[in-house]
Amino acid sequence: MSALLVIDRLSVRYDSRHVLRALSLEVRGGEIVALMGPVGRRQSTALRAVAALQPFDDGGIVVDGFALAPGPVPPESRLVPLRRRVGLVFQAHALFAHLTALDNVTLALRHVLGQSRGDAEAVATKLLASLDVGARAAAWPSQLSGGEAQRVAIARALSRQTLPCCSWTSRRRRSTPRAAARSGRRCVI
Amino acid sequence: MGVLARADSALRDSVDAVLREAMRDGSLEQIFRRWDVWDPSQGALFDRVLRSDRAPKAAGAARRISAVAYLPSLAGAAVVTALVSLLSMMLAVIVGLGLASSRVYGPVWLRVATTIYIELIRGTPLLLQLFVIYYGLAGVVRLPAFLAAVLALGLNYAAYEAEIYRGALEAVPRPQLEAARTLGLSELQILRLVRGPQALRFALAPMTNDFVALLKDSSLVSVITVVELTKETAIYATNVGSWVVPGVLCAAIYLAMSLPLARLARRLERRWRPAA
Repeated sequence: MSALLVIDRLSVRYDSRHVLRALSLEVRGGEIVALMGPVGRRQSTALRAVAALQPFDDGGIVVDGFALAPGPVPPESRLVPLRRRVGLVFQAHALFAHLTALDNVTLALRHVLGQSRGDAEAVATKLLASLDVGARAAAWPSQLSGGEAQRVAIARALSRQTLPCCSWTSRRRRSTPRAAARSGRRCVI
Repeated sequence: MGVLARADSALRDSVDAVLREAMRDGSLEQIFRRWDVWDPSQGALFDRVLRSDRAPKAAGAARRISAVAYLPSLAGAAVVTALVSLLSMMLAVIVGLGLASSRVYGPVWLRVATTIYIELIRGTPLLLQLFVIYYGLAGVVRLPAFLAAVLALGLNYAAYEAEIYRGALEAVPRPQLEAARTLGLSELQILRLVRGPQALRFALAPMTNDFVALLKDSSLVSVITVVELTKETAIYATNVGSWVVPGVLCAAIYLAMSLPLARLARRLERRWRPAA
């Protein structure tokens, strides 16, 4: 099986300072890959580059056939295939503060995939339940514990059948990445 | 003798007061004699005018009647104030949203243009802007006073609203926008579904502040002949010769309009705040 995610000699510089130097990585379907290191070693920067939130200076990234090149981040209109493939769970979860847990998950289903509210809520409810936060569907992000918020964020990233990239520190519960992987999707941590 | 518009009753009253004073101290008679237009019938007229002038002032009942008689015109003027304020608020919100989004999302030239507009409007007096729009533009286009008042107030407050909205848009945390982008929402959808709703909450308190201020600033439009609440109160006070009753009435009407506005804003703020 060919690699779903290929990172080839990825380099990121801020001014003249190298923050990432020639990082290479291949992930195949079904693999759980951990990119580990002490805090501040720019693991998140690599994942942000994969999600096209962060420009890079050298190397290349191919996500399930979609290639990203060095230079400024391309406009959103050219990233549509990538957005279908990659979801990102942010270190500080970044749930939408004005929406309930359920609405956080249904947002993309309804407004990107064009599902009806009923269909989207059915999908989202199932996703939340599979991540053990089904009971928290009606809660606001500010009412969730750190672990719950992280799981809702995973559900949101999975809502579009994507390859989730998760970024978090070791304080988080170890079961969380496994929960994401259990949902049967491909995962980079 | 002079002919004045009905709306100018304050001017009429002050002209009358000056004339009476001149009759009383004899200076009007002197002027008439100098220009050789004095005749004895004028003296009789002066006496009659001065007597009738003193009569109502002596009677308290007459003044009470005039207080009641002024209520309909005060109510009418309050409607003018409410209309001017409401219409300019709507204009300010719409133009302000346009200005703020061009300043946040627009290309460089548009950002520069809106910045110049905002600084120009905020840096010059509203009074001057009223004069420019009503009298200054009269050579090009003669706007009705009411329309000129709404335009000047609305365009002025739009500059302040724009800065509130820009600040609110920029206060939405970056990760929220990035999360929305990774979900595949378009820039417009992000503004409509994520950034806008969150920014609105930041903007609500300063917006209420501005709208209460606008309600009171609407009294400035009397300088371009729109008779609104403050102007009508001044006419009323001049006619009854006291500011006590008219002043209290006027303040009460302004409060009756501004307090519900503040209450409504607080209710919205509570409703939009997700339970903590």
